[in-house]
Amino acid sequence: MKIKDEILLFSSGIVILILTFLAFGKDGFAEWKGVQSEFLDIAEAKIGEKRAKEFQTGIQMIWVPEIKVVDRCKTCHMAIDIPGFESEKQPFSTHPNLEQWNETHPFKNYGCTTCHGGQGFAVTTKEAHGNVKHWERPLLSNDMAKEYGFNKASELMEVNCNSCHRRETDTPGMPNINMAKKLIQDKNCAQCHIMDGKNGGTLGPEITYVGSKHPETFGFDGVEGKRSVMNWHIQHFKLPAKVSKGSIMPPFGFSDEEIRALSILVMSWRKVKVPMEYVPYKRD
Amino acid sequence: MEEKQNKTTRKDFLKKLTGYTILGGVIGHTWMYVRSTVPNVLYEPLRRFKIGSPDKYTDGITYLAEERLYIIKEKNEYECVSAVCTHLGCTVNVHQLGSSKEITLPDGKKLKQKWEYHCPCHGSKYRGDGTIYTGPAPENLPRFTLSVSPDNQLVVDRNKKVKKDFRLKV
Amino acid sequence: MKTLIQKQIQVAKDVYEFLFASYSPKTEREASDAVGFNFLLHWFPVKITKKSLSWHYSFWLGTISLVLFIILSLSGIVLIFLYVPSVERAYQSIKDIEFVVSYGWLIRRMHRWAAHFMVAFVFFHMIRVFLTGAYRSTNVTPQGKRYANWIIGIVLLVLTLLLSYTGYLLPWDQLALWAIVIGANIAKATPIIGDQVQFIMQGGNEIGQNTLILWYAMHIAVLPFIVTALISWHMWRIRKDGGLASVDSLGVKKEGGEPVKSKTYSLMGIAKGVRPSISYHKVAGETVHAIPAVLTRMMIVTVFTVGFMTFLSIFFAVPLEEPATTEWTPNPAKAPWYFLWLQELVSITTIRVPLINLGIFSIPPFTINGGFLGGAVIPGLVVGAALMWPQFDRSPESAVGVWFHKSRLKQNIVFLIIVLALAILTYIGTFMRGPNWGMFLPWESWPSMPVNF
Repeated sequence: MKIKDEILLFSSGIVILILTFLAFGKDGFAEWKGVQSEFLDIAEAKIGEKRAKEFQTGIQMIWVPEIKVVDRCKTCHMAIDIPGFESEKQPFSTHPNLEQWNETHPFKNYGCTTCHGGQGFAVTTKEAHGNVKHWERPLLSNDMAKEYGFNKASELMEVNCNSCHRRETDTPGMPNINMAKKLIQDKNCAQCHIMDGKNGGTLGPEITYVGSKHPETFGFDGVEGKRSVMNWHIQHFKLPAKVSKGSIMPPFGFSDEEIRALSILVMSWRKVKVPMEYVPYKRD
Repeated sequence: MEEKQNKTTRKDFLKKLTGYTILGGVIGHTWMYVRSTVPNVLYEPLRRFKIGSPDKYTDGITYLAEERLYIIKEKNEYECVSAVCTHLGCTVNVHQLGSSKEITLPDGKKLKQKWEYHCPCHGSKYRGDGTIYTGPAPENLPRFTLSVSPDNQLVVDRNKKVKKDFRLKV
Repeated sequence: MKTLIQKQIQVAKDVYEFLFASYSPKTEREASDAVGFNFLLHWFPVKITKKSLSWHYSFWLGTISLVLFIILSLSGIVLIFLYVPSVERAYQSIKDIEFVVSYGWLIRRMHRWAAHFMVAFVFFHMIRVFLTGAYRSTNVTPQGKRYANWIIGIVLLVLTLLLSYTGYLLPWDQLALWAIVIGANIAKATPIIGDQVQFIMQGGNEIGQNTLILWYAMHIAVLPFIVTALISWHMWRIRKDGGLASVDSLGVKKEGGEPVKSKTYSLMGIAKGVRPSISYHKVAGETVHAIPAVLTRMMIVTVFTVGFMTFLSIFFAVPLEEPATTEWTPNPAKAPWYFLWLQELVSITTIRVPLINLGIFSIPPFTINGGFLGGAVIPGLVVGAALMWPQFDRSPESAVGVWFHKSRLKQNIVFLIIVLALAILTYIGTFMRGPNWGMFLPWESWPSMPVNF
């Protein structure tokens, strides 16, 4: 079938024009733009037009090069550090216990992903919350916490707290980790494992930075259910030899609560560089 | 004859339309490519930023070193003066005058000032209201607008310069 | 004032005509002049045989390859503004391109899709040229040297692969890093000088900042310059060789006048002689003005190619995996698809030969150096054979520029078998090699990658 050249050229022109418009649309109607205008309506109703105008539109970014934070969460979570929006649904609500958290961990110095996880670079919900392939630190959500038996996200999030607060004991706000640290002392894990880089036994492998071990480097043959490192640790604490073939580590009879706490403790032992201003210290 | 005429004009019309659609695609693509080189986010300190609650400022002049700004508070009025000399960009210092002095400005008005701004680099001197009176600096010290954020903090906006009579009343 | 404005309007009209009039000539004379009056049209001949225009002879694969190269150049230039070639910042700069640069996602995807398609279409173009025997000149176009253009073309194919490979490293993610680790280690298998080859390739003992900036410079400057020069030469040779090879099968006809007896004038008198006349051999075949016939078809190919790439870029994402680290290797780690045939060859030719007992003495166990054999020797032989084949092609001249000419049946079959083998190896490498390089049949599912939470 011979199609005349002029018709072909004309249809190619139509095709390229339509596709160009589609490309414009995909970029112009970005997800975050809709979220921002929805928020501004809510803000206008709540605090009046004049004060609502103070909110900045466009991509918002917290950039802290010292701790390699590039967080764009505020693009959608516009009221996260503004008191008064506690009753709104996400992403429009204020951060819980805003005053307390902003005092000890000011958002402009810590970003958001430092504690919550997630992909700070991204500006779409799915990508930003980081539950996508090839992003290793997803958002530690309520759902994820419940999946592992915790009650709420803040419990699971303790794994990120301890990455910096590792050398402390009895830190307020970290009940699970505090309990796990006590357990480590009571059960004398150091008898078989080096956990601080120097002292400990050599019957078991050194686990000072076991939190930095990549999931690919764990053996998942003996693990039931989801192939996650968290699951690996949970099942390992319950019965080491089932998950780690040939292991001589005995099962210690921990309760489920203790196992959860110990698992997030060891997963928090990551190689992180903490600048001087960020080193935690006990406030009197 | 007429049919041939119609055919020719239809052909020309199609040609023109084709040209315009392809041109539209070319312009559209060019626009996208050029637009992408203009940044939407900058890895720089923010141009509009918070500087703390109004209550934490004492009466008089406060220097914010990292932001290179002077914040002046008098009772419940606030001003924001840039500390960057308009000559070649050095940071000007505050030269306290000990006691409040009254001077006459070139336009005849009187000004009460407690300090002056002196630049250490090439000797530019500014009065207490930021206006230049000696030295190589070509302009007065810029002033930026101040506002209060919804969470009750002072907000400086470098994008909006203001005149020397601007005061934020809190 | 009015006349000044009117004059400027006239100037604008003149500028428009100066730039664009040649594209839509209104008379035969304008059409003939167009190729001499407009810079961008100077490559075209005045007239071209209708046969050359055919869609189904060449499928315009060369044009598509060129268009893809232009798309890559333009999108690449924009990306130079946006990408940072430092090991600390490369990954982040690409995340920024994906998320916060206006249309960044589109430009990056266009670049990657066009890159993969250019490798494929340059290869298809080579296949077409071989199957039509178009790498030879005949006495229809005796001044041509199509063999030279064939060599330039093979070199362009290799350079296209190198351009794609150097670009592959730049995102500095796990996909990129390990693809290059594999390539560098195959290069290391070269006997005697293997370590030095790897050192030169990597810019050091490890793949790090040196490697990144070296490959970046190759990718954005050195290789594009060479490829642009070679493409220009390739196109110039097409004109010198008398156009597409399909023209050669049209044959030649003699045209022009025989000498005619006439009066002629000498100094101070009238003499008997012949009038000046010209006779010439012309390619037999109906011709049309290249402008607008070829131009229209080129525009069609260009706009549809750009359109298809835009379509892919709007609807299909391109990968960006975890930030590059040597602490763990993705399982499986693979070269890019266009080198998977080579990676498969290496794994197939790495044979562990056990102890061979011959009674009097025995040959100790050894391993065949698959990296060298499969990675350098066999691919080298294939490329070498391709370069040299035109010398050995003994088919008659009537086979040039014809699809599947009977006299070239054997060589076409052998060629297609090699192409099929490459395709099968690529398929196996892409879809059937799973974790730990295990063989997974197409219906078997691969184990999923474990996660932290």
